[in-house]
Amino acid sequence: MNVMKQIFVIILLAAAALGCKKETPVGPDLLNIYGPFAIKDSLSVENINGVDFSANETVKFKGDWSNVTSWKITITGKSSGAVKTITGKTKTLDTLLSIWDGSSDCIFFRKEECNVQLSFSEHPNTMNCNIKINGVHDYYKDGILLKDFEGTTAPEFWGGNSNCKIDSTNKVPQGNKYFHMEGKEPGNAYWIGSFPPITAQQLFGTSTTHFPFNDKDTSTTYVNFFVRGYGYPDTYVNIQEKEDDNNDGITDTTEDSYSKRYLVTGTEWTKVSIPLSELTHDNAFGNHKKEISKITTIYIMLFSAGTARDKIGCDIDFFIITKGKPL
Amino acid sequence: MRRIPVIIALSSLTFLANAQSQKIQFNGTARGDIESSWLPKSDTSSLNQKIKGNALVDLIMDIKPSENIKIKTDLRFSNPMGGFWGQGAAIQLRHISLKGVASKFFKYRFGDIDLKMTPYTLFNNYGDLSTNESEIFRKTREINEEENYNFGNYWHQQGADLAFRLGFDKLIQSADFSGFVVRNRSVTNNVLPDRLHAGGNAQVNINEKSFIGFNYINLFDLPKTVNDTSVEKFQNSVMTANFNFDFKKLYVFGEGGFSNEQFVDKTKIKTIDITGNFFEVGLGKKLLKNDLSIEATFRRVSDDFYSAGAQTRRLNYATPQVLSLVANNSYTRDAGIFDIVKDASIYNPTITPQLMQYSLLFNHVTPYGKATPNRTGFDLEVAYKDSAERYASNLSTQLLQDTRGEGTTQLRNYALINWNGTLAFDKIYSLKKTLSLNAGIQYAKSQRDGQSLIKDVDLATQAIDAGAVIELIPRFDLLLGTKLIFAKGTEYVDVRNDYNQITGFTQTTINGTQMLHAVSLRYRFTDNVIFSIQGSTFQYKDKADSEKDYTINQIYMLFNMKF
Repeated sequence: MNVMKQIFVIILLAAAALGCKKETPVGPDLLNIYGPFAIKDSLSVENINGVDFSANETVKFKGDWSNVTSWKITITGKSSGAVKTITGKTKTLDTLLSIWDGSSDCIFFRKEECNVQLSFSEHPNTMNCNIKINGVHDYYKDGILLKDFEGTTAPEFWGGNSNCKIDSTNKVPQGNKYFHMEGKEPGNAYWIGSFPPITAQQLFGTSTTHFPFNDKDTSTTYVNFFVRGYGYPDTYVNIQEKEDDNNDGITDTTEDSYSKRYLVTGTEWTKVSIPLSELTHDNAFGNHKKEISKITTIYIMLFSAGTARDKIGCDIDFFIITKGKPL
Repeated sequence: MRRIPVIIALSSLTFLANAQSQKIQFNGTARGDIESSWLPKSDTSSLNQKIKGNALVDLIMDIKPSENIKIKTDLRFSNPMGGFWGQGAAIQLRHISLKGVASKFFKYRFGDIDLKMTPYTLFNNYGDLSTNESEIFRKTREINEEENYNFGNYWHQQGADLAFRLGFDKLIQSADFSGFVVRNRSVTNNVLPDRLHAGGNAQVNINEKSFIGFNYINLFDLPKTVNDTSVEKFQNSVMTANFNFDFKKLYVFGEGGFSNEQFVDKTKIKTIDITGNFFEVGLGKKLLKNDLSIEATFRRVSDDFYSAGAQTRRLNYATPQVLSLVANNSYTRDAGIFDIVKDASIYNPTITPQLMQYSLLFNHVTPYGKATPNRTGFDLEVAYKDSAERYASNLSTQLLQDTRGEGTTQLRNYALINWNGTLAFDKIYSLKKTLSLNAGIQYAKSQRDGQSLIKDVDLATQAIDAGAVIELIPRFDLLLGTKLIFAKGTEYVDVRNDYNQITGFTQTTINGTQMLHAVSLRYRFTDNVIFSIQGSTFQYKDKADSEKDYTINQIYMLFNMKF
């Protein structure tokens, strides 16, 4: 019995000795998550002389703090009012997350001074700095431009009323001008106004009858534009494409037509990106097979819901088709 | 559960009834219950009342087609309340198993089988706050556990097992061998493969009470059940050795072993390979003619010890079934003591390798039983029960510590103290009618110094049970019971990925109480036939935000018969 007790005590002591072995902690460091919050390195930018996005330069932000926490960088153009928001959850800005390539959340930046603010959702601290944009990103290179309204004369617009015009009075998404279109819906008209058809031949030369799209990219080819409403109900921007089903180089009324109506609701500029896969067949003809490689013509129209309205209208700017991703 | 046509079942019953003899024996349970739960008028939640009820018969047939084979089936006929003329009625085959002895040597079982090994390999730990329960709550919990085939610490699974024994004349008395394989998961959506759980045990019996054993269990995927080229495979295996040496009044026991968790991805690379270990050693002594037993153990379970069969929880705290939206529709409540006592759907039938969520209020010290990872320390248990069953008392004290810091080098210290006692006044004073009291308390605490850099861990919970059974007139009883929880403090709850690795922590601060009070009138037609009506009220109070407080009231009628 005594021998057994001794053996038991030895086992216990051995167990205790093994149990005392120190090991590194498991899991993330609690100090990084719940420790006291302190700023180690204030917000700053590496580009002290400004940034030229047209030369593909980028802005790298710097800053360090004690804990892994959610942060937000808000960049605001002082003259354009454009905004870019970058968010993350780290303890430093020295990451790929916090690099700015000149893109914006909505309307584009210009050559201007920008305010940069760093804030934290779980802490009251904020920090500010400035960055100067010396050159802007060339968005024309991002896709196929349909309309930008930067010309010296007003573009031709069918229908609408006399208030359809080029304007620049109230924030411009891209360049210096946008277009205001409006009209009256007498009831059951639906079509209020539109620009003349935009054809592949106009954009790429008379020998090119089709837009340079691939059918397999239907869901990743986007029509992008900016739109701002005035609170007029039933205001739609209608995007329509017509296809050359029989490949004879021309599109007629017996061939496919697809469209998408976008309801304008916001009274601030909104950037809209519609994949061509969302356009639906809108006539009784054609082969009913969406073939974006055979698009010959694109229409941009002002539409209504058919209910009589005194005014249907909105502002629009920068129609561009991009491939692979939205604008 | 399998549904079969009514006509076939009834025809079978008729046939069997005609053929009833010693080869076929019937027993079972008949039960009818109605439950009405409601929120008080002051709570404007849109769904403020729930009524449900059921009438059912479980017909258990034990069929003995030959001397060495037994077949057991459990056929349930049920009809929910309000389903007149069979609407909503169901016939379910709840259990079917076949067992027998082959060649007078091999014992085998097929079908629905109950399995158990050791607390570190395959063990269905009791539900939270069940050890100190008064009879008024225990009876309801027993019905819910029977509904879910939770008997003792066994897991109810589907598969097969085999066992045999070798006898010896010298050195050892005998050697027992057993093995099993059950299906844990079927192929799902042609993406998740079949998963089996298999294991075995070899035990060398030195004498009737002393043995040395070896245990192995493995939860593993069969990738080829998805398609011929699939190689993704998860595996969790545990291997242990255990012993028990009995020296008349004194016994020494222990177990130690290793676990391994692996995952092989689509490119055949082993992306996860985690090995853990544990050991436990203890000493026990029986005194006072075995009425008093004392056990002291020391155990160490590493932070990376994963054992699906031992760590899977009996209760799964999903959204409660009864009146889940409370406090004027402001939020969906968590499961409370009301649900763990009364809700049969809260029981978890499936062994899972992912450490399940647990409630900080009920037991945050050993939420996965003895196999809870990252624990080391001592356990002392003293149990007394007199042979005349007049009084009984159990005291268990666990003083534990983390084996490894979580997010910090500091280790948590834990205390889990459990006491319960029963006094049978009728037996003490030779009364003709039943009069007994029971009480129990559980105290659970965790503590860790934050070193003034982060908030200290200082969570303490007390769970109090008390109850009485008073026989007013012969066979007519009054049952009283109360269950209270007080919780206050801060803890950091682990956030784990699918392989149980800690990826983060959620700081949680609690300050609240839960109270469940119940009174019941019960008539015992016989020891196996009872009718009872129970009223209960459950109150939840959040001291940090009184707008989260709510109350649930319930009336519950039950007729239960075993035959």
